[in-house]
Amino acid sequence: MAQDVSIRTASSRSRYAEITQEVVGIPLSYPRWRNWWICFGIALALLLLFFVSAGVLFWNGVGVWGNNIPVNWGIAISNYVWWLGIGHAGTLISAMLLLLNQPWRNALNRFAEAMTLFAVTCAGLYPILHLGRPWRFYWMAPYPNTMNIWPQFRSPLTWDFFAVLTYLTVSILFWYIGTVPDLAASRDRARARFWQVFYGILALGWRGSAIHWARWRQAYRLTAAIAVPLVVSVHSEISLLFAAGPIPGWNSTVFPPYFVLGAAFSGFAVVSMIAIVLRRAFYLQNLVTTRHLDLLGKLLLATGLMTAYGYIVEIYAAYYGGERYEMETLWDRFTGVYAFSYWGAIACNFVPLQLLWLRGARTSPFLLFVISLAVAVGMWFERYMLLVTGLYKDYLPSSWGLYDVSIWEWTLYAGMMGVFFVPFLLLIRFLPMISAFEVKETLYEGKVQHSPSVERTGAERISGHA
Amino acid sequence: MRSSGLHTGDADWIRRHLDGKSGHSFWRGLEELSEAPEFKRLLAAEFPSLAQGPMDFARRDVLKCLGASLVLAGLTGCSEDLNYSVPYVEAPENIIPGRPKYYATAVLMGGYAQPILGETHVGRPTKLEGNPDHPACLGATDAFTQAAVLGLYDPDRSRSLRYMGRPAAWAELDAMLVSQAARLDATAGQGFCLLTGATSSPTMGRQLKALTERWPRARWYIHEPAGEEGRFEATRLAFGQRLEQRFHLDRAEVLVCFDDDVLGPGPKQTYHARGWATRRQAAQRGEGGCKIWVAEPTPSLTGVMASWRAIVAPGRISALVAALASQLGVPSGPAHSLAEEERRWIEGAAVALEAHGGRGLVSVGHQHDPAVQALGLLINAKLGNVGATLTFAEPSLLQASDEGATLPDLVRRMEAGEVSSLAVLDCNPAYTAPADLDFAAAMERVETRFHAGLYFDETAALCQWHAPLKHDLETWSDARAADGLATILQPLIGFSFGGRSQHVILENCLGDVFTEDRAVVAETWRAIWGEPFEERWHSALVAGFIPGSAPPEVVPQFPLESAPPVASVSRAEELTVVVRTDPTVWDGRFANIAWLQELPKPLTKVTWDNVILVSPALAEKLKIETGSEVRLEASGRSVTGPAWVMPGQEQRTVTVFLGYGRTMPGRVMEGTGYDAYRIRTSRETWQFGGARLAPTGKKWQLASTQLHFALEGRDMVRFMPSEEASTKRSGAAQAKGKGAQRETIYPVYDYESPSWGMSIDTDLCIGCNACVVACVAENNIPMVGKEQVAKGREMFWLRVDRYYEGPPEDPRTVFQPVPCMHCEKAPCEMGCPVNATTHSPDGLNQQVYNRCIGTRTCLSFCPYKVRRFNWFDLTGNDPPEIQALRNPDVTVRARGVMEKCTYCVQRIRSAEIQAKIEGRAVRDGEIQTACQQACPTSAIAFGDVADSETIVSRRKASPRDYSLLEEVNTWPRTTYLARIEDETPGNGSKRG
Amino acid sequence: MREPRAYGETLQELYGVMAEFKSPDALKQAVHQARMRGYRRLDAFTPFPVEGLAEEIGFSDWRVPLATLAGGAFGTGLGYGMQVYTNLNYPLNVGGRPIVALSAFMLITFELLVLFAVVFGIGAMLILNRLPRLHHPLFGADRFDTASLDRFFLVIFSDDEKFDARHIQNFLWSLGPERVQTVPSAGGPG
Repeated sequence: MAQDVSIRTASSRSRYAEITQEVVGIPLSYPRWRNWWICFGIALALLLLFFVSAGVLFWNGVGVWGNNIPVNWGIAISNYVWWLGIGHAGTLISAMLLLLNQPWRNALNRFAEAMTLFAVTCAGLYPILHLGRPWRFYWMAPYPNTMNIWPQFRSPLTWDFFAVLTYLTVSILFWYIGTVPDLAASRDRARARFWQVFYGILALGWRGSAIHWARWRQAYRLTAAIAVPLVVSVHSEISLLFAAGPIPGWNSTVFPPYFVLGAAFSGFAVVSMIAIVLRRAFYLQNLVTTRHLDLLGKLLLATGLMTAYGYIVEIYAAYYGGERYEMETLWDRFTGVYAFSYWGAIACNFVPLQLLWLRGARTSPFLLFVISLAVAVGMWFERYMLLVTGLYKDYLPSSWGLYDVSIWEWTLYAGMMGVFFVPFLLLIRFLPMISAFEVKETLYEGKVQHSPSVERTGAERISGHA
Repeated sequence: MRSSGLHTGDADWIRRHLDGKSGHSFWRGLEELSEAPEFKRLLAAEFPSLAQGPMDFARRDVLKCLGASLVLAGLTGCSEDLNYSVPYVEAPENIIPGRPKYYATAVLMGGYAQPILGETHVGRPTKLEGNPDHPACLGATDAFTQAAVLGLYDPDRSRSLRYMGRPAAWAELDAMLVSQAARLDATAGQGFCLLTGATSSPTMGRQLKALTERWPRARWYIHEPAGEEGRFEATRLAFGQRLEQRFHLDRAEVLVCFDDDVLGPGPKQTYHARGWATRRQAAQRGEGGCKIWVAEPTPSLTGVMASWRAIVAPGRISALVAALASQLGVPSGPAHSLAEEERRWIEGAAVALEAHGGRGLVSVGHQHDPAVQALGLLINAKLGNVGATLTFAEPSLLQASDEGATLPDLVRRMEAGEVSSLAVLDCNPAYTAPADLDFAAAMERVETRFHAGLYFDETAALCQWHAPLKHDLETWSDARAADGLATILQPLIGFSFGGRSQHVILENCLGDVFTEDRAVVAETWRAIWGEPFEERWHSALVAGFIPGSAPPEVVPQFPLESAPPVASVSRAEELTVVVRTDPTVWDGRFANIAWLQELPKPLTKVTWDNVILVSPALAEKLKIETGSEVRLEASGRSVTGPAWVMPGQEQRTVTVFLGYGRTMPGRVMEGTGYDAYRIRTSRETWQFGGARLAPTGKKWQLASTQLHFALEGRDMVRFMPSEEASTKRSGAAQAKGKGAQRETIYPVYDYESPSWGMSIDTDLCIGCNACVVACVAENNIPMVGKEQVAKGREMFWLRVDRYYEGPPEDPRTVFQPVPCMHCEKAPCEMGCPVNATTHSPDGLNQQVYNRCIGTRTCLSFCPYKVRRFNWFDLTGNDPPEIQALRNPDVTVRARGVMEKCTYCVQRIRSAEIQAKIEGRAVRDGEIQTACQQACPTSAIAFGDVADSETIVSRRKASPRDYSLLEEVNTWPRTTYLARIEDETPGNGSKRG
Repeated sequence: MREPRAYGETLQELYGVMAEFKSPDALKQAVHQARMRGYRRLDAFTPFPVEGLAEEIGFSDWRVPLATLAGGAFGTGLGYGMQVYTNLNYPLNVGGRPIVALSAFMLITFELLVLFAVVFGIGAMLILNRLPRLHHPLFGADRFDTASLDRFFLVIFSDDEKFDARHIQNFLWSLGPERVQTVPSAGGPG
């Protein structure tokens, strides 16, 4: 037994170094120059497109978009919801699974959190861009201005303002203190002076003192514990942006949970896509393993089914309530001008999803990627559908009118992709994108605490070879 | 004033020469001057027309030109005080900036005066209101009158005299006219023709009389493309006398209209609507009835209000009138066979009319055969309506120099070369002449062509001379209103955009170049009144009309046998075309007024275009839909325009609208609509058969402000049987009325008096749009243009929704004006993150423009969608004229902010301030919103809802009171009165 | 627990004695032994958090959780207080809603609760850990960079009252480390 242990420690000791090398090696000696530059070039081009679109918008006014009366909110707002929803997955994976002691999370949480940061940034930009007078957006903040006029705290928009800012701050802090130990590792591995200083500063002089670790863990876990309800509250408030209005198809108590689940759903989809791409790009198959894909697939399936439940409840609620306007709006979603968005959502969200019942589909990177992509698109349709079908036909037939997305809205949307990918690519280029120390911790704990059921090494546990 | 004939330098030279001379010596100075060689050279330089040939023109002419030049050189361009005009209420001196002044005057429409009070701020007219003292309008106006003030400021108006298209000096024109006058004196006016639009101006009459006396061989022609000449024909036919028919709808409990849109747009709309509303309100109180029977081929505003609307082909009207006549025992030639539907309608109408002898009225559309109209008059005579609901008087409109003096005759003479000089005054035949007359070609044959008008229009382009006319609001003139009362027009504006008044131009034509419009008008009335003149003049200006000035009433003798009606014109297998004036740009004269272009047509809600109305059945048959381009052919002529599938349109009738497709350059009218004049002939001006319609396969992008017309079984507009409506509110009714405010989880704010609210009576609204334009004028609402309207971005704070109920071939049509509801439980306010829209203590839903950041949440949450958003900077680059037009009491909104109906808060506040100054409470009715003030049917009431004694409170106490979208429980301050359903015997669905 | 002053009066002054171990378990053992020997001023350095290690060293500090709690309380008070104050400070009739709308105000109250709880918690962690501190004597120690890789270090500080470099070195050697070394105080900053 003891010998057994010593062997395993020997193997695991080398594993510690390997893991760090694998993770920290990527920023220090970047393996895939060409591909990265290609991606980064595209991302930069998109970013440029963003600035052009925003410039045109600011110069001329919101009129360059397709918005009109009655549909005075366009895809700017539906994209806002969509981006934010994607962002939530990062926090959920990272925080919720941490609390649930799901060690396999450690392979994913770092870039999931990074994704959160930039998704939330994109989301946060939209409401500002869509303002009639964007240069006055700060009037939503509570500050003692000359006229003593404060924000109107009963407005869902004010709630969103606070929610998004809080969420962004918390996400940044959570991500950063979670990264500090690996930054220290990078600092210690770095050979070039510049990188030593660079990582040295970012690492805040972290030296892995047991005392520090203890306090760090307290703070980290507490933040995680708080972040989960935060996610729920944030997206609930986003849903109130619609549900608080007396508009048929919006004014429903289903919305908050409906939105939160949808958010997690779309988020996990995007996480899966990124995971698949990264492991492929950086040969991380033995850190982000098929087992992780399998688990992601299961999460996706679960949240997807919950979202589907939301759809059903909505229909039920409309008919149970018997509100004629509600029922007409619902019926209009099925058959109206924008039925394409409803059926598009159904088709993309729930049809391919059923494949995930099969383990084969879950563990096949390609299939999982396609399904996730479908979900991302489907959730976009859903947000669009919820927004437009609510507005374009409400109470008075006289004010009904259609909405066409203008070219500048599409370019802005494409540009947002740039806003998302440029910093994301920089991050995976220059910072350790997998939480090496947590993987090592899991490896160690895997050694000490034997799970009677499966006899596996810690290394196997985290790398998930069944 | 650069239009002086003399360059400043020269003018100085002359002044120097005349310095210190005055009276007699001044004239001697002129004598010497006229001999001076410098002046001869100067004159030759200035007046080539005179200088040409030997310089042997009469000394008199030279002096005239010289005098004119000096007078003009002496005039100054702008002056703050409105020189001689007399304000309505207060003295003209001491202008208090910020304090508007009101002047009583009138604007003209088809020759008739629309009496108004003009609101001016420091010499700038900003808003026109009806003259409350004038019996013809009692303070109401129509849409055209509301928009007239924009016509005054129109940047495209002609500003300078032109000769051969290039800017010229007035003195040149004067010289031309003077020498022409001299020539005409010699030939007794041989070859001189004058062409004007319809006019009722006594001064004009006097001048023309003078002209014809001085030049017996000169002829005066009138061309009014939308004139109702047919009515005069009818009276002549009925009793050999050309008389004006005057409807007294306030007395007509039964109104039977044969394709006659008495409530529709036109010079008499306000007058008629006022009368009808009076009647209708009495009926609401249970005092007598108020029913309208309409038989018409194409939907009209009158048809919408009808208790029973029969849809008949235009050709059937004669048969129907004849049938009614025989029903009522008026000899009417051979009986016509009637369809079942028609028979029931006729019988019903006959019964109703007989039951209301002397309280009924039969009217036949002016576009129908005079014989048929005459028969209608005879029916009225038989029923004893004449003298009660129908009276006759000498025509207010002047009559051309003789019977034959019609446009076709003029064109014939021009082609024959009998016209050597043609003066066109305020008339645009090049555009409005029937298609069978080649006016342009005829013009070629006229050697001197002179045009005076507001615009350098199609006709001006054909003339050597074009003189800009003064706008009605810039000039002194006089005219008669719909009830015949004369009004003296006085200028509202402190400065002038240049140009001369019609009267001055006429005087010029007579060779007098010294005159000035006020003098000409005063001369007329001095002759009528004698002394003491000034007092009467002053009081006439103060009052805005001259009491007792209406032409004497005539009681004609009816020979009860009449000309037999002609048979129907349309053959079954072909289409009949009916021509209508456009409800917003009329005959085209308003085509460059943006407010009217963007104003949704009452029945189609189309803006910036005219359409071709086709019945659903025909559309079905031809596989066309709304917006598809169609080619309409009749008697070898054709027009191509967008089709509009019109519910309630007679199956085989096609309606075209005049006034669009103009070729004159105007930044507003550019490329709008199609020109229906091109299919209109001088023989059949208003309707003709034998037309063919074919789709071209193209589509027109039409900008309609309302895309969905069906009520969808929702109860936005409610109906109530008359017996319920008239009963005093019962307890149950109380509860129902209170249903507007269901219980809420929110605290109840109690509003103490005053607390504002509005009540809109859908039973009175005729959808005329006056309120909409009034709102635009009062609140500086920008126009956005066709593309933006098509995108759904029009800015109207007040819209008139129009809904259909029932089968498309014969639906019930209802109008519903929708301003902001000023909800007490406003969702919009709850949605705003920056407190930019909140509730005022007196119950107003306020919008704070400079606090708004444009999140548009308020608009998303508004169940009525009455809020409007500035998608672009809509006002930044308005031309200075338009900026001068703006109401200084209302903020001009910036880009990116939300705006909406404010209940005209600026009027509320100024009234409150006034009341405070006088130390009293605000009186009920003291505050009128712009829409309420304009409404010709008093459908809108506004006031303090906290005080149960106010008009608005009493209206809200009616059992007909209901609020829009009660179920959303927003507690609206704007509520509606249900439309009353008349029970009409033997008429199932077609009620209300 | 406090670490000794980083910068001694003389370059010779020691910061502490350091032993390097291969596995967390070995380190744990060593810490245990050191505590048994009565050393109190010591600390361990690991590439990842090792369960129970801090407790071995005698760590029991609840100030971070308390700070988080305080932050939460503060945020709640601030959030709700702000909304109530501003609405009373400038009362407006907004859609006939109550001036102090408890339910509506709850959302922002919660958001600020979260924000300040997290900021306080993490702030407290950094402050109590004396971070950031970019320069530290240990960084001068040989092979200390492996502390973030796969090596596990035990340091007994020079300010331990039983501190004696020689004794301690012998003692540490007895624990079967990879190596033992003395760590000098850094000679001034840099």
